Amino acid sequence: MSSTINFAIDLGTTNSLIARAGNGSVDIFKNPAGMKVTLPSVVAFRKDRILIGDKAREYVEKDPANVFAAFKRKMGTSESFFIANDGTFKTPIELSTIILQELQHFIYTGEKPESVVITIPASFDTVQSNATKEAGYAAGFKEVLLLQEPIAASLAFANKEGKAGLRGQWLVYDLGGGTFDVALVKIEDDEMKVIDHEGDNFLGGLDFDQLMITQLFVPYLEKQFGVKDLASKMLSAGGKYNKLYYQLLYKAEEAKIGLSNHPHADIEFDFTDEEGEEEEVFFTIARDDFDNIVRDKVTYSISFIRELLERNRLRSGDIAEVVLVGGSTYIPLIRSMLAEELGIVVNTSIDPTTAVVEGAAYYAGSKTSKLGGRSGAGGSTEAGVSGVQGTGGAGAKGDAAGGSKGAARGTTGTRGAGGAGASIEVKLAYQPNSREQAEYFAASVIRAPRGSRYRITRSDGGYDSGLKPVAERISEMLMLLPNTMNIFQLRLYDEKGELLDAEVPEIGIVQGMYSIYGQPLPNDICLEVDDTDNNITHLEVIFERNTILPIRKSVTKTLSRTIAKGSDDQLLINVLEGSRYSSPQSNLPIGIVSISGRQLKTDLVKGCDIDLSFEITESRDITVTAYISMIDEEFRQAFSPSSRTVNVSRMKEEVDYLYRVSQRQLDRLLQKELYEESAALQQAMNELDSIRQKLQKVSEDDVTDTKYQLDDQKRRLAKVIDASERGGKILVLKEEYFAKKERYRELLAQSGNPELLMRLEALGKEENEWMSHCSAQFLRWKIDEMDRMTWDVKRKDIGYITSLYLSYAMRPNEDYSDINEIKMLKKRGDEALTRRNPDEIVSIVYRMYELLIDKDREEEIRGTGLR
Amino acid sequence: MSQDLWIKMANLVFELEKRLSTQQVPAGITRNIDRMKTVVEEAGLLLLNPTGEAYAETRTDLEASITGSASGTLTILDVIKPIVYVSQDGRRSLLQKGVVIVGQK
Repeated sequence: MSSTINFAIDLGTTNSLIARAGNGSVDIFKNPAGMKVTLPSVVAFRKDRILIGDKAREYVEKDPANVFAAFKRKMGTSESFFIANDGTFKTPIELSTIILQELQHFIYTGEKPESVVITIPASFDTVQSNATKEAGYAAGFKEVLLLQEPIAASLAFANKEGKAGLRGQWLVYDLGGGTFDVALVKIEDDEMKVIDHEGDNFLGGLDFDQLMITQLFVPYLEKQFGVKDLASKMLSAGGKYNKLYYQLLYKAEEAKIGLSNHPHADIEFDFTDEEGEEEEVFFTIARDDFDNIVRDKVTYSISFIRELLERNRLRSGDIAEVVLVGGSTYIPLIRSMLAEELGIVVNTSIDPTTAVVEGAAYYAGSKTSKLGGRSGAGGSTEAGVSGVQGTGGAGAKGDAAGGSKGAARGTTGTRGAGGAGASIEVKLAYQPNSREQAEYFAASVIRAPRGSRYRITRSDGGYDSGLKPVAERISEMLMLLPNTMNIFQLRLYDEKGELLDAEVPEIGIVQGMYSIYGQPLPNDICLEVDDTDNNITHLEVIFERNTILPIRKSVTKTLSRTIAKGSDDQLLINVLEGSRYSSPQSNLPIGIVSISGRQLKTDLVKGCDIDLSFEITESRDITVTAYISMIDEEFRQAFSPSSRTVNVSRMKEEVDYLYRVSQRQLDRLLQKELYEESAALQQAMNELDSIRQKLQKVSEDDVTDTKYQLDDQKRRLAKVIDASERGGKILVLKEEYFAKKERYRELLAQSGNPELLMRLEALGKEENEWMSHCSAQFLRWKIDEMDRMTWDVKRKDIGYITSLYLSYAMRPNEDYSDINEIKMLKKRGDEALTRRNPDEIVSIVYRMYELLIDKDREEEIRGTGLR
Repeated sequence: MSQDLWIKMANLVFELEKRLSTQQVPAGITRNIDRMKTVVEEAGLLLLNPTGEAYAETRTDLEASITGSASGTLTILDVIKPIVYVSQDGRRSLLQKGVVIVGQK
């Protein structure tokens, strides 16, 4: 348990941040809603809820009576803010407390710090400083240390540069979104001190954005499209161009950021002119244009520095450097003007956005907490919250995911809270499945302390109810992310904003996916593609089983062989239904598009891309669209389950292939004297032969049911052959698969290639899914996948390459098509072995493979033309 | 490619699609955009375009600018940047808030 404070908060006028020091580094926490490190220091009291941060900021201009920003400027004053919506008052301290509490929700580690360092501007007096401390205590901290922002930034800079960077005196120039501060810092008696400071509370990056709009965008639009008085039409709330103003604010900010890195920024947006014509606006802003319009503001900020130096009787030469803080200091003009006008070195080594909180966290990491072991990192204490755990998770349970409509889920959770023995009981009710964009949620909360609030957040960060008062019955419309499981958390807070220890089950609502309204696919829908290395085909899954219809997907495939114009050769897009792990022949063909050479105006060259789109409607109609970019032609075909499509010539090829595979398997079984198994196979072969004969008589455009009946028989037989293979062939392949996996694992571990090793392990993790019921083709495909994955490593391994070469060299010369050449290759290979050069040996092996006559091609089938 | 670059790519694809949606475009271009979207999806990103949806202040997946009056039913009138979620270890998390303009329809 650490006894240092570790946690630090930059409680800014515009934005606030929270960070934690540990193990010599600083971790800046991100907002779980939106994953940004900054939280806008804005609180909104909407009609029924409190919003904090980004959401609150949206209403700053629209609902000023209930939304409060920049309240830091009022810290320590007796001013209070009147909230029109509930008729109450809030002090700047109370508003700061809300921000500080919200920042604690960023701590994903679950720690609850009791001590914290909070930064304050150099300009804060004792009253303002004490007010900040008070906000810290009210937010639940037991110990609050204050640190001046320029010191914090200097610490971040010192940590980056080492101690050498901390000599003499320096300036901290802090230009944020809406405020500007400059401080003179020096080390006196080993202590870093702010000697003097200056600033303007109404100068920042937002001013630059607005200048861009009024001085660059508006004159351009007025001139180009003859619009009169555009600025006032944009700025009035009911004005015709009010929406444009907000669009341009984003464009201006984007351009400003772009101009920090590039000499030009392109502006692009659509604009509707006075006549209602839609115009595309495109123009370029040069950094010089931007510099010219903001120069005065920068000069103005520099005048504060001059004043500061004069007052302290210092010349530029007395200042070691200027440290930049605040997002606006990314602007190159600021950097160059500071250097030119003041002649002081500008230090840009720290991140201007996070410098203050980072420096404060380093400070917190070095400060011992007076609370001792209870502070900081170890602070997962539950002081003030005790009680007996009640019965959680009981209650009436609705149907699980996939359940029927109307089966609402009800769960109860109770837990002791507040130490008074009274336990809060929470009962939830909601639909576990929904097809809506938002789902109604209700809960009853019993025995919650007076003044409690609740908050519901979605785990992906896309929804936050804000803080709302707890009543006995609470309800909310929960926004849902489509086609996924949405997890929500309901949390309860006491009057002071402390988390209450009530046990509330997670709220899980599935949107779209398992709802009974949508029809799930009973089987995988696959595309048959070529395995050109083994001259077989395998299945590639397009839609997984249980996917909800309707569904659409596009894939891009490549042509695996050239299809000549005018030839009978055909490109097949064969869509099958069944298991992706079995062979293509045993799956049900549900749609086949054939593009034959005769339909083509030009050759289709091997390697060209084919875009395929598959669409299945709720009534299971399938549309396959193939677009071949090379010839700019689209082939489209729709299939419905009632009109099955069977391609006769393809079936003939498949039956031939199945016959050859079973012949080979039969020989194996007979060799092993497995007569019982071979009888079943022999029977299948007889039936295949009969299908073969019948197919000879069926034409491609046959209108009878014959081809469908034959296709059914073929699939049944393919399953029998698949099964018979499982006993023999599969066993051999499985042994090969596991042996190779082990060998490759060792090889990759030795070669120090963690990324490939991870991919290999991932392959292994999926094994259980398919190992027990896959086809031989699938297994061979998986072995090939491993072979390919590891080939780059293997080809550099002299041991592997040597054994590969020897396996070819040991074959008799008669196995090769050119005896003279193979003799010469073997001679060259033997010599290459002595040089131990893997690349040289590999090139010989490639050629030997090409010369090999029998490449184990008995099982090959003419492919689809796709890979 | 880093996630930041993927988001930039997703935004560009979104913008391109949005700009073309108001005009008659050749099918080939639409197809290329679809392909680009598929690639972005394969990189694990989920892009959502909330145009026309009702706006609620509980939507932390949006960064909204409100035009006109902020009372009554607000609708998303324009989307400057899409909402981007990422899927990691089977869980989704928000990567980029949608930047939108909302107002009365």
